[in-house]
Formats: sequence, structure tokens, C-alpha cells
Amino acid sequence: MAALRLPTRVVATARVPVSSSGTRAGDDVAVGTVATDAALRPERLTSGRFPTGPGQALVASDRAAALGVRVGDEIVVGRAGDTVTARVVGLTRSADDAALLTWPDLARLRGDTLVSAVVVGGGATPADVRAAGLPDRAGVTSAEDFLQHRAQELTRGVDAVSAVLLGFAAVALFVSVLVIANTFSVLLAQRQRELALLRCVGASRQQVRRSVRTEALVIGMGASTLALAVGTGLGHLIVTVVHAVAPGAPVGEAHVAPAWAVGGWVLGVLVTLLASVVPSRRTTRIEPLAALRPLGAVDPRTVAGAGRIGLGLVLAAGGTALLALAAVVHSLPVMLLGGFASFGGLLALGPVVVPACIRAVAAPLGRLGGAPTRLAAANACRHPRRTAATAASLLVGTTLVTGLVVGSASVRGSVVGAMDHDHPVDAVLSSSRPLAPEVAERVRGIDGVVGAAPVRGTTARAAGLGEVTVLGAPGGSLARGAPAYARPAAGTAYVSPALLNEMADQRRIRLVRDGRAVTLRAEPAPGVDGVYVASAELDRLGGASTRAVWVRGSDGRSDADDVVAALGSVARASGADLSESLSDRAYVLLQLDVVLYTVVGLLSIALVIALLGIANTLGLSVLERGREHALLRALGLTRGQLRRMLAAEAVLLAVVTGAIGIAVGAAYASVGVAAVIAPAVPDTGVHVVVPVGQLGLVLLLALVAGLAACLLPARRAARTAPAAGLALE
Amino acid sequence: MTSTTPDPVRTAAASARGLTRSYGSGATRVDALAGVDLDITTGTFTAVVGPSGSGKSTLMHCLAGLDTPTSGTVVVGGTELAADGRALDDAALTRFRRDHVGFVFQAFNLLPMLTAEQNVVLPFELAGRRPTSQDREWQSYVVDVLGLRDRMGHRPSALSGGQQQRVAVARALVTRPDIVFADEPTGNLDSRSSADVLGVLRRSVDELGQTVVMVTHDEGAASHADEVVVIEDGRVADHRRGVA
Ligand SMILES: Nc1ncnc2c1ncn2[C@@H]1O[C@H](COP(=O)(O)OP(=O)(O)O)[C@@H](O)[C@H]1O
Ligand SMILES: [Mg+2]
Repeated sequence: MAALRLPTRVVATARVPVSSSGTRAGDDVAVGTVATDAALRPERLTSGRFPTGPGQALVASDRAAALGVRVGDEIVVGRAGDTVTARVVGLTRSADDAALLTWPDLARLRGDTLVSAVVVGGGATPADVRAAGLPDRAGVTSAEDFLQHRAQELTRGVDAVSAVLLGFAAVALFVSVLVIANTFSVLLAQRQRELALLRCVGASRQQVRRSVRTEALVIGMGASTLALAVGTGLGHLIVTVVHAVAPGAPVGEAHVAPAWAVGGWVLGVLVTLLASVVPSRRTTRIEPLAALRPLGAVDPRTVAGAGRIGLGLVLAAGGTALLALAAVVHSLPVMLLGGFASFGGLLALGPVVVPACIRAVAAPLGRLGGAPTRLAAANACRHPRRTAATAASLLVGTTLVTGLVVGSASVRGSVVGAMDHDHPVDAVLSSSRPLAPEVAERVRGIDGVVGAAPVRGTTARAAGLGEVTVLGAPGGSLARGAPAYARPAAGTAYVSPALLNEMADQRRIRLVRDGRAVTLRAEPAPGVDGVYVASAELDRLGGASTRAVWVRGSDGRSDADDVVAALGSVARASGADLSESLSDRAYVLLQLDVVLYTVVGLLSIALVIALLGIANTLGLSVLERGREHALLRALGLTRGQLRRMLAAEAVLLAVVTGAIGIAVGAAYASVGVAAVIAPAVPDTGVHVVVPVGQLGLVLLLALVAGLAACLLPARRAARTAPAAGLALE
Repeated sequence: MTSTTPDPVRTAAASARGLTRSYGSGATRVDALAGVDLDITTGTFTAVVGPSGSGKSTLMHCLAGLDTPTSGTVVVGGTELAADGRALDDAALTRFRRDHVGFVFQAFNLLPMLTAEQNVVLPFELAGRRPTSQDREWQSYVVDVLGLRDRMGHRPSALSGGQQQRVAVARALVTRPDIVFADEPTGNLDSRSSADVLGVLRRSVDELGQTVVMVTHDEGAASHADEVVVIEDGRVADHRRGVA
């Protein structure tokens, strides 16, 4: 083998078992390569050093805990017969692979290794590569291309994250437009007399409108400047805190790109101006005479026009039809179009739908809650457009959160189904020698294990396979998803796919032990080691003893790593091998949870803006109704009743809107599951899972948000003495 | 005619002694009421007149339990609202108003989101009690006397100013309060509607035996009253029999 003098790196991965200090750390761990040449090494270390040659390994820092390894530990990589032992010399901030070996080590795993590229520096040709004894099938890449490609891969991840964050920012901006527009509407409705007076003394429609828009511009500029300052400060603060708390965290220095700062500022101003367009146009309809009407006669009742309702009906019906179509033809664009159209329709129909729902809910509640609740319901519905506008911002948030919660629960169900299919038994302790009977007992005693049962087995010869372990499944409910081999049928052998692949005749297996032979129908059984047969078949072979223990872990929040460690020590003590899917299962579920919580966390910004919107509108309404509250107080409404009335109004609005959002969000998630997720996993299938508890929590949060929103306005309203209130305009 | 003070114990629906109410303190202090002694006779129509800013509304608010006097004694319908600088607390005052007092204000008397009927029965609603059959008969009678029978299903925005004030009067009367206070009830009305509302208040005294105190700065309105109290600079300047 002529040594290649140029720097080289083989890019390859293998999915193989990894064990560390005698414990199986994972059955199906991605192991990749790392170059010893610094020029071909985009990886970065979080601790330790890079391997300098064979026998040394890196482990991804985020998987080290799950694998139970530390720098200095020895890991054994590969299947029986084909293993490599390496010492972990460093942890890397990686990448797709959990562990990294040098190419000579990984090459020894032979069958399991998949080479994706050979990277060479300095213009080597495929012939040089072949001459150096390196695999050339996958193609040869120059070092420059490889490093650039890796860099792009990394940025693509960052770009995707930026795109998602900008998506949430867009949701937050949209909700802000709704809130600002509503606030302007309410403010201008209250200033109607003032504006009419301006018209009386000679201001033209255009002048009035311009004054309102100038006001919006000034407010927008002020708020954007403030927001920029607060946002920048917050960013610096977060980075400083992260650096202080977690020194090694992958967070750079805080940095404000001038283009983004200016862009954000302009966006803020534009959003405010945009939000003021409709309300300010409405001011031009104010007649000068409005100023002369008696006080209180100006009740700015806002209802939706026929045009708006017609448009809403068309959008809602068309959007719903598109959604139905999307579920049938599995089309993401059709689904998005249908989603936007139907949601737009819902927002347009808000002035009809939201008050109707509030009335429907308030009728039975009013009988319980008395006058304050009945008055609250009447108040909540008196300005249908204002009510709908206030509800809209909350509706956006609750619909998105519900859609995500339901969608993620459905995906989770499907992922769990797939894992149950691939790994029906959480953990198996197995041995080629008989196991002591108390091993199952000791396993059962581990915290986080809900069941364990001994598995009888024996050893037999099979053509082409040599010695194989033949086991009889222990019945009971230890296996997830009730796979066939957990209750073997007579005459059938359930064979691991790996063994099955090596059999000449994959339909039949002949097992021989001490001259006794049985011939069985062979069936593939994913997730098993060896061969499973019915108890009767096992007895025909003879010599059965306890060879394994099946373990079922709890589904609760017990730490999978702890359970695996405890199982490992039992396994070591009894000379058994441990194979488990508990840590992978926990890891996958954790990933799903992290994604869900991150997204819900980002969406909560929209929810907070909506909450501020409710508080704002309610606060302005309370100002507007100061006179009315004084009247009610004069007539005998107590302070407590007044507070309860305002609380009931806010809670009715928030909870009813939350309920509508939950219903709509669940419907959207169902369409999304049918249109996008189901086609992506045709084997396991996926069905809609509605997590009632989490959705109940969303509704509870809406209720709390409503109460929080009414806190200040209600306090102020209740504090005003009736006589002072009567003196109000 | 100079002021006469009728026997307070027997016939007074409301009485005030040494009633003062000041706003602010120091240089900005305003004495809206500067020592008022007054008795309102049960079953009479009393007009409180005086120039703007003389303290009429403040007096009414103190008598009605809407405001707490700075000093003095107020007794209404047998309940001592304030005495020697101590007053009932907010909850007790609220209950007192609900059970013993009816109100008619100058404007904005009705809740815009409720119908006339719902506005009229609001005091029962707030008290959380169902009107008895007697209450309903009484309500029906009041509504008829006020000529509102065919207006009860309308919202205030569909009623004329005069009709709105009559609905307010109906609401003040349905609970048969010890006393009805009306603050400039005709201030926003044209002369015909004014006459209607004044006529209705008059009839409630004559036919229903109601005690009514009406604040007005309109001498013409005062001519419907049995007694006229003139307030000037926060004091009772005159208390005379009316022309009615
Ligand atoms: N809340 C208040 N704060 C300060 N001054 C007040 C307040 N309410 C009334 N006043 C003053 O008390 C005086 C009497 O007011 P008011 O009783 O409303 O008069 P009227 O009803 O006779 O026009 C006026 O000088 C007024 O300015
Ligand atoms: Mg007054």
C-alpha cells in the first residue's frame, strides 16, 4: 500500500452498537470519521483534544451524557467480531454523528460502514486515492469543496432558524397591527366629539385625517426607537447572562447589524401607520354636528357591514373547501392557501361570530353569576367590531398554539408507534449462559422499571447461522405495541432481520440441538436479537433455561440514563449483556418536547401582545364608561359587583376566544396531519391526537390572561367614587 | 317668605343638619356646602333651585348617599348616613341607595346596551331579587302612568330624549323608594318633553304618594313643586312653599 502523502480524509458513517465500560450505550449509534489533519477538520472541540491516530475517538458533547461516556473512557464500537476499541480523547460540538473515529478504525467495521466521500487536499486524483488503498467508490472531493460544503450545511441550519424566528416575528407583528388598529379605533371613537368640534370650527376632513395620521407616525417613531433600545439592551443582557451561566455555550458576542436595526425601526413605524389607516379613514365620516349632540347620545356602536360579512362568508367557505381538498390531495400549498383564506374569513366574520358565542356562553352563566355577569355579557357584545378586533389578536395566538400542540401530539403518537414497532421491548438482559433466577427480581426493583420477566431459551444450530440463541417469549404485556413474537404462534420462528439476511432460505429455519430438530416457518421480527419460538417448540429442542430478562420501563418522567445505568450494573453483576432502547426513546421524545416548547415559547410573545391588547381595550372602554359605572353604582351596584362585572367581561372574551381558537386550531392541525404528515410516514400511519390536558391548559391560560387584563382597569373603575363619576363628561 | 323648619322627626323623608362639604384644601379649598339645615317632607315634591355652582348637586349627592359630607348629620328614610364626621362605609351606602333611593339624572340615565324594560328592572337585578307579583303590578301601573307601555322593548338609542327621561323616572319609581332624587331631569329637554317629565314627577307625588326632590336652575320647573329650597353659596337662602 503506497502511502498517500497528500492530506486525506474519508467521510463515512456507520450505524453500529457502542458500549462503554462493558455497558451497551446504544444499539444503533451513528459513528463518523474525524481527520487527523487539521486542514481537513471543520469540527470544533468543547473539551479534550483531537485524535492523533487510530485508537482515539471524539464524542459529540450533546450525546456524551446519553452514551454515558467521558473523556478518558474507553468505548467499544461495532458488532461482535468486528469491534474497534478506542479511547475518548475529546468532546466535539457536533454534527450528525454521536462519535467520531479515525478512518483506519472505522474502516475495520467493514460491512456497516457507508463512505460518502473522500476528501483530498492538493489536487490528488482518484487513481492516487485507489493507490493509497482508500475507497474511491463514493467519489473524491477537494478539500476546498468539502470545507465549503460543510460550512454551507452549518449556515443552512442557522438560516432555517433565522427563517423560523422571522416567521414568529411576523406573527407577533400581525398581532401588533391588530392591537394597535383596535386601540386607535377605540381612542378615535372616544375623541369623536373633539374631532367633530374641530370640524365645526372649520377643519376639513383631510386636515382631521392628517392630524390623526401624524399622531400615528409620531407614536410609531417613538415606540420603535424605544423598542430598538430595549431590544438591543435585552439582546446584550441575554448574551452576557448566557456567557456567565454557561461559559462553553455556542453563543457569540451580541452584535447589532445596522441594516437590521434601521429595518426594524422602519418596520415598526410602518406597522403603526398601517394600523392607523382604517381607523383614521373612519374619522373623515364624522360630521361636525356630532359635536352638538347631547352627551351620552354618542354611543359609537360598531357593527360589521354587509360587505365585510359577505367577504367573510366567501373566504370562510372557500378556505374550508380548500382545506378539505388539501387533506385529500396531500398538498401543502393548497392547505396554506385554505388556512389563510378560512382564517381571514373567520376574522372578517368575527363581529358576528364572537358576540354570538359570548351570548351563548353567557346565557347559562348569567343565571349563576347574577346581574354582574349579565351586564358583562351585554357590555362584551355592545361593540361587535371592537369585540372582534380585540378577540382577533388572541385568536391568532390560541389557534397557532393549539395547532402546534395537536400537531406535535399527533407526530409524537406516530413516532412512538414507529419506535414501538422497531423496539417493542425497552431493554433485554441476555446471556449465552443460564441466568440466575433472581436477576429478574433485581431488575424489577429498579426505580423506573414497571415490569421484568425471565425469558427461557436454549442454544441450537441453524444452517448458515451456526450457533443461535432460541428464546420463548414470556407473554404478559412487557412488549410495546403487541408484536407477534411476544406471543409466538406454534410452528413459527421469529428471526432477527440480521440473521434472516444470512439465511439461504428465508422462509424456513431448521433448528438442531443434541440431535433433536424442529423446522419452523421463519418470520422477520424487527427489534429482536436471535430467534423467538413458542414455548412448546423450545421444549422440543430441550435444555431450556433462563437466558434473558425482558424489561419494560415506565412512560413517566423517570430519568432514562439512571434506569439504563442501574440495568447496566445488574447486567454486569450477572454476566449478562444489556441492550436497550430506553435512552434513544427518551432522547427522541425529549427532542420533540424541546421543539414544541420552543415554538410555544416563541408564540407566547404573540399571546402576551394579545393580552396587552385586551387590557388596553378594556382600559379604554372603562374610561369611556366612567359615567355609566357611576350610574350603576348610584343604582346600587357594589364595588365588588363592579369589579366582578369587568372581570366577567374580560374572562368571557378571553375564554370564548380561546375556545374558538382551540376548535379552529385543532381543525387546522387535523388537516395538516392528513395533508402533510400522513403522506410523509406512509408505513406507520398517523392519526390526530388531541391532548385534552394541554388544551385545557391553553384555555386556563386564556382565563388567567383575561383576569390579568382586567386587573388594572377594574381597580381604577372601582376606586372612582360614584359622585365623581357622575361629574364626568 | 322666610325659611320654616317643619318637625323633623315625624314628617321628614330626609333631613340634614350642619351639612358641609368641601373640596381640596388650603388656598384651593372650595366649600360647596357651608352648613345646610334642611328637612324634606314625606310625600311632597321639593324643588332645589339656585344659580349654577351654588352647591345643588353636591347637596343632592350628600342626601342621596352618593357622596360623604365633610361634617354634619344626614338622615334619610330613618337611616343615619352621616353624623359627626363619621359616615356609613361604601358597601352600606351602596345597599342604602339600592333599597331606599331612586335617581333621575340630567342625561345618560340609561344603559345603552339594555332595553327600556331591562333598564327599568335594573334595580331588582342589582339587588339580585325577583320582582314579586306586587312589584310587577306596580311596575305595570308606573309604566302606564308614564305612557311607556309600547316603548319598553326599545333600546335607549331608539327613544327620544323625553322618552328616555320618562324611562329613567319609571326606574326610579319601580322599587317604591323612600325618596326620589332628580338632578336637572329636564336640563336637556325641549319644553314639551320638559313639561311631560315634570307632569310625571308631579303625578308620582299626587297619585303614588312618592317623595321627590328635584334639583333645577329653571324657575319654571320649580313652579310644579310643593316646596322650593333656594341654595346660594352652599347655604339655604330660602325655603318656601311652592305655587303648586
Ligand atoms: N369634585 C369636585 N372637586 C372640586 N370642586 C367641586 C367638585 N364638585 C363640585 N365642586 C365645586 O363645588 C361647587 C358646587 O358644585 P355643584 O354642587 O355641582 O353646583 P350646582 O349643581 O349647583 O351647579 C362648585 O363651585 C364646584 O366647582
Ligand atoms: Mg349641578
